[in-house]
Amino acid sequence: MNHQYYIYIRSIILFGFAFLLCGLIYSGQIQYYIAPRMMKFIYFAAGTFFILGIVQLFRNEEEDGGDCHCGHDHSESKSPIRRFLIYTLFIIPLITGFTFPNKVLDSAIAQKKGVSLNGNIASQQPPASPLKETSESNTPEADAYLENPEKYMEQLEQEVSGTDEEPKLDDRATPMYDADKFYGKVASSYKDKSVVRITAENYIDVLNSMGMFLDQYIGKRIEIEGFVYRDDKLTQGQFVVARFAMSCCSADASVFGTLVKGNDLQKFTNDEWVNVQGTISKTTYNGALIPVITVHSVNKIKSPETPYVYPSDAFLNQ
Amino acid sequence: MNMLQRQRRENVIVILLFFLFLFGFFFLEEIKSSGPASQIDDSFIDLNTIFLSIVLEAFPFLLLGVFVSALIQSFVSEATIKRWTPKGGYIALLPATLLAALFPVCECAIIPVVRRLIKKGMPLHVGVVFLIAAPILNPIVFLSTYYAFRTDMAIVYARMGLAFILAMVIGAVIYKVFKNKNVLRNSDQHEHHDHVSISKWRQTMYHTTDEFFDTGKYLLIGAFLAGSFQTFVSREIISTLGSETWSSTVLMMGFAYLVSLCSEADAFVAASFGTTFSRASIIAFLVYGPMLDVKNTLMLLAYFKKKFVFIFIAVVTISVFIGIMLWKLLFL
Repeated sequence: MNHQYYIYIRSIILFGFAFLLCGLIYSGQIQYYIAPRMMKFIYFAAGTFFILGIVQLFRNEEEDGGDCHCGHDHSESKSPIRRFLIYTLFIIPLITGFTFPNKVLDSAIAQKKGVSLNGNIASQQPPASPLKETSESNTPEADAYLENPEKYMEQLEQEVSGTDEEPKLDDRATPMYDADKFYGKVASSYKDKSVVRITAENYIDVLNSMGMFLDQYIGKRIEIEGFVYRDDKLTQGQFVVARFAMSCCSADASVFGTLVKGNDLQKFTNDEWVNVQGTISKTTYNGALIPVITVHSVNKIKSPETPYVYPSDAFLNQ
Repeated sequence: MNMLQRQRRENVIVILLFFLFLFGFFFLEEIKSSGPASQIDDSFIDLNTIFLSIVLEAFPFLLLGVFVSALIQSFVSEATIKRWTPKGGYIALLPATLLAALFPVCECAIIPVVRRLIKKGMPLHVGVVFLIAAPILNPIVFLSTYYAFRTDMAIVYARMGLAFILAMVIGAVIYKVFKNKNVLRNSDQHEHHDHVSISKWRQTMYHTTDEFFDTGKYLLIGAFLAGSFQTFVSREIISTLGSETWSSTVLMMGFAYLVSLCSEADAFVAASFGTTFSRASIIAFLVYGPMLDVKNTLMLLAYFKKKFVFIFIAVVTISVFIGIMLWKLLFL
């Protein structure tokens, strides 16, 4: 096949990506892939694809001096089969992008990624003094593994090896900003309130704060929405109400959840969206304190327009 | 006759493809919620979501990178670059690293450039410094790493700092081993053509497109592998395998090698491992990946002699590992 043909194919692929991005932006479905604060880059990409596509469309093979791409990877111009495979590679994401239904990340992915039950920050703190009497768990080891596999394995290892060096807490992804101060402020803002209402906007902040300053939240009423996440390791009267937090794109989404206990919870299936109202208390998971909600009411709700939660502006701008 | 028929058929494919994408654009929502689409298995949809999100997230940065690289290709002559090339043995390492930091190209683009520079008289070890430092020490990579890790700036500094030091260390070792031996494969590739007939800006656009396609294919494969990994492999298994700092570092270096992500986008993937892996291993992923991976090993073998490539791989791998361990002792 001649060179001009490949010039056109490339042009069409560039247009294809521009169309895909515009289509996703226009329909709002881009939110399944990209976090809002990265959108400016997506606009830039869509515009660039259009410009490159137009320029490429009017490119003439004579201008290229035959097959030469001057200084580029010449291997791609080797065999027609290779070329076919390469362009197929570019067309595949276009076709799946246009046809595959969008799906919110769900409990199947959550299980692969692991769910954090006391915020992302608190799970990195040394476990507080164990309060075994409040433990709800009848399979503590499995729960511990479910909650934080790395920590569990680490502790298991320490038990086996007996005298390990001090716990490698400093080696975990501990953020550099002053987390104590920020989340302390969040906690004290609920000091005089009897109800903690968790919205999409404050989701990450409040859950992190609750993990760190749990005692300040105990006894308060809480209202939280999320999808039901369950593992065979949880008991019948428990599930986790969880949401995916996305910082840049869905590849980096992590799962924040809160343990819920009560009667009649088994009628709610995994991935069903619920509104949970209850009272905050604490329980122990492998020696670490985590919040647990004792249910007053659970109601099925429609899945929200924006299923993901994002780091709040207050958190990013501090 | 036959030629003409074939050309017509090719044109039909191009036009069909165009209308297919246009149709997709106008009926995006209808197609996605249609019957056949809902038949697709859930895990493939999850795979597609993560794959596409990595690709779409990486594209702006990839485009930015190939555009700047194309600008240099069009507007900076090799004679100029040669004039600015640091001369001498070990003393050339520091200026070479600083110069590499000004080269805003990713690892796919730098290999052909370095090969050409070496061929035109640049010392081998200076070229190696470029090969290692340029993909990490550049503003675009800094920007994307900053966006992915803005809550943990220590990782951003570690990536840049280690790349800077390791580039000089590896350059020094290569200088010791090879001096200025010819390590290039003899190839009969033609020299640069002068595009006298078209404007520099059109030329830049063409280079951008060409480089986008040359580099994009490795990104797509990398995103697909990374997406499969996220969809089908539970993180618990990985953290079991790599719970020690050294073993998780080795594991993440191996992973970085296999997924072959572009240095402009790998930070976003690394961020997704943030809570499961030690920080040392995240830094290893960010430092080792741009220096060496499946796709650039293939490209290196195409341009350099086998013996050089294998020694280069060994030197880079050992230096990065030791570098990470020392960095952890000192700073983490």
